[in-house]
Amino acid sequence: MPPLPAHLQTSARPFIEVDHFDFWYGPKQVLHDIHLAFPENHITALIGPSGCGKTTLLRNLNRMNDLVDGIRHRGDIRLDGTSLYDPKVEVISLRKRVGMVFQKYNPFPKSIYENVIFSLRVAGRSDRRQLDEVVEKSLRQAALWDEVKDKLHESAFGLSGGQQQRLCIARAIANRPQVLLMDEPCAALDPIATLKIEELMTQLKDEFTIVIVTHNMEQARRVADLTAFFYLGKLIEYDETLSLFTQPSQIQTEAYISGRFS
Amino acid sequence: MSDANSNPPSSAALLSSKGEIKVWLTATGLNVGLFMVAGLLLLITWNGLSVFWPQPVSEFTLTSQKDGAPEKIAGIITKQQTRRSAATGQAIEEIQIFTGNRDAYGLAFRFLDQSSLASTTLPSDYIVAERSEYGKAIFTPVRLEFSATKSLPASDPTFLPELHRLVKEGNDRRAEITALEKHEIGAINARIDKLEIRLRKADPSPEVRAPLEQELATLRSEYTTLASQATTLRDRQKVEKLVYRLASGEERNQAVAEIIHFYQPNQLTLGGRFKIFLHHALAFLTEEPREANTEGGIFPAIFGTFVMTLLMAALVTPLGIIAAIYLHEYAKPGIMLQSIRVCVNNLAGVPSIVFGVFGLGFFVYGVGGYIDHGPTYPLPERWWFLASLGAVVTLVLALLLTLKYSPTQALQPKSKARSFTENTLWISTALLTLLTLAKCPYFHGFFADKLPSPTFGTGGILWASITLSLMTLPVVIVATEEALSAVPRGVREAALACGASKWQMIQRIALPGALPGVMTGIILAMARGAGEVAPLMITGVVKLAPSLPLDGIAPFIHAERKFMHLGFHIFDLGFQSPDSEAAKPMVFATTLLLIFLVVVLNLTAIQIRSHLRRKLQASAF
Repeated sequence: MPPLPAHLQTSARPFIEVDHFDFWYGPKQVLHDIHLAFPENHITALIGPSGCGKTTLLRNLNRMNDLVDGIRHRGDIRLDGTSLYDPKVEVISLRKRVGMVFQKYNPFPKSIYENVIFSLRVAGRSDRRQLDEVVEKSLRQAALWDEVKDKLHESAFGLSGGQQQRLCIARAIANRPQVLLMDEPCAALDPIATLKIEELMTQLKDEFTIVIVTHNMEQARRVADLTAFFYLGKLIEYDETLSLFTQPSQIQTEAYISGRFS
Repeated sequence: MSDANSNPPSSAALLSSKGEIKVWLTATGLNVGLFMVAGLLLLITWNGLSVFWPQPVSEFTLTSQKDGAPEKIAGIITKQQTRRSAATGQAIEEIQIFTGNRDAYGLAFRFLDQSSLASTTLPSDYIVAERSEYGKAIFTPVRLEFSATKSLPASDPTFLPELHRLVKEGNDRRAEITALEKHEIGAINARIDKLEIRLRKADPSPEVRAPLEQELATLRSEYTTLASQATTLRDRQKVEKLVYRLASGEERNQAVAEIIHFYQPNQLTLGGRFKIFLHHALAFLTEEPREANTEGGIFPAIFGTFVMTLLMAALVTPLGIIAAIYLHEYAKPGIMLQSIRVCVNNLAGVPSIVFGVFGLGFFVYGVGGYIDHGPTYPLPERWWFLASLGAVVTLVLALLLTLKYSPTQALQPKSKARSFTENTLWISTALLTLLTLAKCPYFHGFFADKLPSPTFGTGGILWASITLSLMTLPVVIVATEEALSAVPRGVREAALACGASKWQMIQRIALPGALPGVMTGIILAMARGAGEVAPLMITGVVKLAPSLPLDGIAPFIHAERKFMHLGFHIFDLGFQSPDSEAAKPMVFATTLLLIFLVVVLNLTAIQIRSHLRRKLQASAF
């Protein structure tokens, strides 16, 4: 059973368990024996210097890495008790349970409305009333509804960067996934837009289990309940955010959070 | 090199260091290109449009005598040049004039030495008339003969209005004759043909044959009625005669109804000239060719080019897009894919005539012949049964093997042996099905009744379009592939992360995003296809097509028909016409139109593309 930080052992249910997970891109091993669990309805931040494997781990949680040639893994990842690599698991339905928000906002060249309901469209849902409801609910949750409700059928490219990223979040949660993966969601945004997204995340964690990759330690400190520090493909330390930042148990962690390397 | 640093640099070195020489060089290159293109367009536009401009008719009095009087000749000056006399080596000024009246002179053009001209005048009463036969006539009118006894001299003030009226009547009657012969008689002929074929095959018993023969007799009598109507109209055309005089003084007769259009070039004002110019241009666009294509319009060629190009685009677009999607999205990268790409690219460089020959051999003779009369060498029945059985068995096996692999696992690699077996099974299914179809001993063709005259087994617009679409396929494939790779990775990943399958991602995100690029490919393909001549010559283009590929006779679209094409028309006018001087203006006019048509087709496609771009707001990140 992969570990949760000590004080959560009883209070929270581990929703995603990463069980002694190794991962290779071709001959290169990028993840070494990762062993941790993400608790339900918490925000977990993955931090670490570039190339430490945090994004690779994130992209394994919805098997986006399957698109890359020459990948190989050992160990297991379980979502709500079921292995992602179980032959019975359909990648497509897995991705419906695990939504993802990317570093660079990437709305589709379609209307705002069509962007939000894309995941429902590909699932074959077309009841207009239902779709309207989903659009409103998702956009409200993404704190975008008031800004776009009068131009739902205009192109998504007319929005500002922050709005586009919130649209991407609305799109990711439209189909009610259980997990929301966020790959540096604020990297391309200005501070005000970043703050909005962070507020949004704390609201969303009531409904979703959120895993966020970030370069920004302040951000991790502000939004995350738990933080995991990665270095060179290894999980160095995993703890409650406050204690990881105030009393790191490992030297590398301390060096990283105090800015001695990045 | 250290010297160069210490000495002040020479001005040449300074220039070269600023790179200005290179700028000039590159700018010169561009200018040469621009100059050529502008020159090309100007030359063709000028020469093409001047065909329609009414030129004055001059009357030349020669120094030589004929029948005791100075010889006279009338015509339109078309060229002035200097020729070196073969005997003395002296320069001789000469002019070329268009005399028309091919029926009287034998030739429509004549060269005259300037020295042999005594005088040149511009008499105002000359008329230039276009006739349905023998080309233009240039003459002075003498009188109109309505009947043996009734006539109207040219000096009478009502002469010209009367002539106009008669010409218009003649034109109306000619249109009526065309409608009768082409459409009504044509439709009846088609029905008679069908009925005769049915009769030939019909049961010999009289109760079967009697109603058919009855129907045939009715049709034949209808035909006779219509044919006699046409004959009456034709005879009517010959009643009124125009007597006219050539410059030489010779008087000739001409049925008025055979004059299509006439004008008095030496009396025209600028506005009048412009009106005649527009009339000529319009007639050129809308009429059918006459006189071995040297006279009349080129409507069938415009129509043929247009239909052929659209048909080609309609064929090449889906094929090219599908092929490019497989190449770009599904095919596994490796030596195989690389070599296929190289082959596709090289296909674009194969001379077009090669495609034409392939089209002739495969589509016209092979597929067309098969449609006409079934397989030439059918399999013996037993073998055929075996082959079809094999096709069914391999199909079932392939389906079983493929479907057992659920799409849920599509992302996990299949074992090598398994995919090899699957591929082998699918390929054998395809081959066996093809064999079963191509060698079926029970199929004797759809048009066996019409043999030996071929229906699809000869060149036609369908085969020409397919051949051209094959030729332009690489252009569309390459453009689509490029457009697909320009669709940002982020958007593709986002679609997949939303739970879209790969095909849904391609269909809903990648392909719509790539559409403007695909349109570019189609535009290039159309531009190349519309201007192509060589492969068309052997797959279905003719000098003069009796009917259009689309018309009012069922089944309305006649994909097997031969057609006319502007490119071939130019070639035919320039090199195959009996009087190349007379055809020269038409060459330019037709070229102008071909360019115009290509530009119009491209502008339309560009318009669609920019509309798509605006709609998609091209994903620029």
